[in-house]
Amino acid sequence: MASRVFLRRVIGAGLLAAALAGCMLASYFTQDLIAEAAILAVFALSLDFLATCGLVSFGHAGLLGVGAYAFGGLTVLAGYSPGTALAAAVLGGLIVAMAAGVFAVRTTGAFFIMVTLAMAEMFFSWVFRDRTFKGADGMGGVPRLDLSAIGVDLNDASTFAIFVVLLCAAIWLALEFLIVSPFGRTLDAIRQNAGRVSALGGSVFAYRLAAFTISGGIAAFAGAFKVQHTNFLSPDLAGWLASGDVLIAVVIGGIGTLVGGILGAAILVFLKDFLSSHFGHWYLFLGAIFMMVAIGLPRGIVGWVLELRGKRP
Amino acid sequence: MRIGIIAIAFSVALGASAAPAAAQNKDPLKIGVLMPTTGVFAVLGERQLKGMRFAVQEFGGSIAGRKIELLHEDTEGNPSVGLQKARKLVGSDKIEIATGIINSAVALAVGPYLSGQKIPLVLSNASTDTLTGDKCDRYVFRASYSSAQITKPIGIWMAKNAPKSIYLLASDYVAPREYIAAFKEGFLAGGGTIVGEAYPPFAKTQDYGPYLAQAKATNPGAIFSVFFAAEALTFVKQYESFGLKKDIPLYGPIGLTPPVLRAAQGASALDVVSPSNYVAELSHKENVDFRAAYMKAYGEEPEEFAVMGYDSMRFILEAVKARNGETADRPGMVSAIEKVSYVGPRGPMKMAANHQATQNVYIVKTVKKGDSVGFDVIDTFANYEDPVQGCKMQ
Amino acid sequence: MLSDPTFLIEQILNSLQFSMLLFLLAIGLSVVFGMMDYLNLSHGTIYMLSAYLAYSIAGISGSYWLALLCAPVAAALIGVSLYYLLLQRVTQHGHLAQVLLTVGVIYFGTEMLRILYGDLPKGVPVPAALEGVARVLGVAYPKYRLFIISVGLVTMGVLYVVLERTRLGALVRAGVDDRVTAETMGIDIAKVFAGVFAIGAYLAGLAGVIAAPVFGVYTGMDVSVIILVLIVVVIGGLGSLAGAIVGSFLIGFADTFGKILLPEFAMVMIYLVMALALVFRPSGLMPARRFMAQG
Repeated sequence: MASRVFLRRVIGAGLLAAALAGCMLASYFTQDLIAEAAILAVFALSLDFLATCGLVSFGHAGLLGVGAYAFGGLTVLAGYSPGTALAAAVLGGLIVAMAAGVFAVRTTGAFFIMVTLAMAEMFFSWVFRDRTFKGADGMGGVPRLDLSAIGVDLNDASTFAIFVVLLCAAIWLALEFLIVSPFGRTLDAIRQNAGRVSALGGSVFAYRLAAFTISGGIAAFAGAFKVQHTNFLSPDLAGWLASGDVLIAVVIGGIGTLVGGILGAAILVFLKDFLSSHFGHWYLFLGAIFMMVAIGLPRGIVGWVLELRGKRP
Repeated sequence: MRIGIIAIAFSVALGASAAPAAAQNKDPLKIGVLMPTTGVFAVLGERQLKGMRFAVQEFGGSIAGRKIELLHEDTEGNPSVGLQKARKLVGSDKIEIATGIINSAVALAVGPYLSGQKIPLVLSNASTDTLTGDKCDRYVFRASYSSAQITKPIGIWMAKNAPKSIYLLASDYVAPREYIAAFKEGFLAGGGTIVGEAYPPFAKTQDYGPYLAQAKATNPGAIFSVFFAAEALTFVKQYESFGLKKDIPLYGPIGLTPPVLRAAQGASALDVVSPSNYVAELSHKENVDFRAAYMKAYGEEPEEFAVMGYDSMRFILEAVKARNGETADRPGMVSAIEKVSYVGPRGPMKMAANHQATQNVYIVKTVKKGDSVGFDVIDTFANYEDPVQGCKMQ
Repeated sequence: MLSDPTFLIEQILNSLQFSMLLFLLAIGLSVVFGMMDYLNLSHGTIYMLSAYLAYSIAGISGSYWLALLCAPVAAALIGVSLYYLLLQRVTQHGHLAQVLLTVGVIYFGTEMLRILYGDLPKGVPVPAALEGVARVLGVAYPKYRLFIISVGLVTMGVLYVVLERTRLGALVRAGVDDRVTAETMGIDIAKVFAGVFAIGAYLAGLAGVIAAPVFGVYTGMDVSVIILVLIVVVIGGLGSLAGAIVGSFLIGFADTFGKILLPEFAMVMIYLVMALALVFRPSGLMPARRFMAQG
């Protein structure tokens, strides 16, 4: 077990080093992609953390959307400072996740997948139509955090990329420690056998709700940075395709490994860019790659690496 | 070589060195094309790209000795992707001018960015009014149309020439709602009445039966509808299948019965009256010649979207030509685009002060032409200037 | 408006028609889901593929009826090949691998159709015999829509007889309710499952053909219904015919009447029905026996 944790952390450190090197050395556009991947990675972490207790959401983009719309709405429409808006976005994510979770975490497995999907679609339908946020057209001019006080200009592509990579690393480390804490171990026990945990007197519902709430807060945090990155708010952020994307990132990387979500996010972002700028009907390739990964590496890349490691004497 | 970037270089034939010698800059003229080629808007994107390439071909592939290069990026119709691709085109590919963009969401995201980089952008389809209204921009032009430019005239026209009581049915998102708002403005001012309205959820409505039954129950004289693409196909066919058309005629933007859906809609497309800035049947010489040349080049008929792609590129190329290939002075480029004026397939074209092209708006009706369906032009709003208000050009 | 009987009848017919299409798609998904715990998101892709096949067959032969006969069979064959070639490989790997695989199938299938047919939506004409409107209880209603309702009702009847009264039905029910016991009794569940998969694909194909003249044929038509169908399955409960029927009617009617009565909340209505159903019955309204204890 210790070696698995160690290996995960080595992979994480390697990714961090590669990303930071990329931020400093690579071209402008690559930096942009690194920033996108880092934000998707934070989002993937939120989903993978939830998977610790055996729940897989197919509507996580709804929670990302809550953060994105809270941040975008408060800064662009209400004129709040980005710092205040960021705090409000995370708080909003926590509250919405807790309220939704009261209903959602009563179900598990495929039912949970469907309930979360339905809830996210409700949010999507609302922002898609509602004219406060300019509906389907979306809303531009979302500002980035102002860190000029400490001499950091986030409007610079390279600086922003480094900043979000570091944030991603910080969240990853925090979650790494959280999952080995007693709280995390209980979540893992629930995933393996919920019946036993409740027989031992633990409230499975309360633990799952807590995990869902924390996950919602992180997803909303990712949402607030997603709109800072593109400076643009649109309903697509909360659509089911976005939920699918992050789920796919986690599955490709390896669910239940945390660092797998980060790797998966990076692979997905760079793969899509590579395919879309080199091929016409690139979804054909993307689809084929998904199929191959599902069949060949059903536990994801990091899951596979950990298995290899486990097999060695 | 990067295959994804469609770099088209129609080399000038040897000896055709008619390019003015005055041009200093011999670097290729790099024009960024932001066009969805995957996702729901792909079908329009592909057509507009063809129209744009045709314009490049018409100019002989170069201007003042500068080879014209189109650098295409797929926006997927998604504003975040569009913005990222715009940054790529500017940051890595060093484009000097940009064009394209099918959906308004992408235009609203990309426009301010390109403007900040002083890259003139000529929109080829995105129609939201604010782009040439309160969000108008010195660097953003539109060679296609604004929503209001198309539906306000039909509102005025219907108040005079159609049943006075109308039921409104439109897909529930920003663009159709905007079309409806401009329609109402024209129609109500002309003395018409609206007996009811409904907005089916976009991309989530398969069956219009419930809406049609509801509309019928209000006994309207006619129905005015706004749907596009697959929704238009479904809506028009279902309208026909309920046997409504003989009692309640159907009106709406040409997206209801566009030529591209002709085969799929069949006879259900008949007898629909629409406003449009282009139909193939226009008989002026420039259109007839354009169609013949396009047919020769691609072996297929150009339609509305190809033509708007063509016109966007033509505005750019005419301006570059007027400046003799000198594009470095961006404010100079902007004023050159402002001064472009020509008669094209759509009729006379020029830019209004708010950077929306002034053009003819035709009122057309779908009629039987041989075995197929075609348009009859039944009225024309000549040189119709964009009615959108609120532009304060910086 | 609801006090107007003709209006009410017309909307009930609209609801029925939509319910039938949902049912044809939901039943295959529900049984596959119930039997093997397999989340097959590409079920809608079979529906879309069959609609395109119907477009081709009807276009070439000029006969809608030939398309109605052949396209669902082709859909079943494609479904089974898909199952043996790909889907079966991740049966044991859990929902996530299944989601990844079947999303891959959706992307791949959609892109193939785009390459073969282009991006323009296609139309399939209504067969001549079913053109125009018929009078039902004094309401003029398209004949073709009445045909859809009949196909749905007949299918429900046939499936009821097959599942409840035949040996094959007994095998399927045994497979859904208690796979392990069924296997120890010598039933080759994998084969039964392949058979079920073929029937599910056939019905999805049937839905594709009969939907084509009304709803059109275009890439993306799968995605726009699959979410609704998944909701039907979840509300109805996994693996049961009764569940699929109840779920389809509930969503078909909620969708139609939601659009009329609460136009501003048309979409919310369906999700609300689902949320309520699951809060009170976390494993659906009428699940197969095995799933009753869950939740």
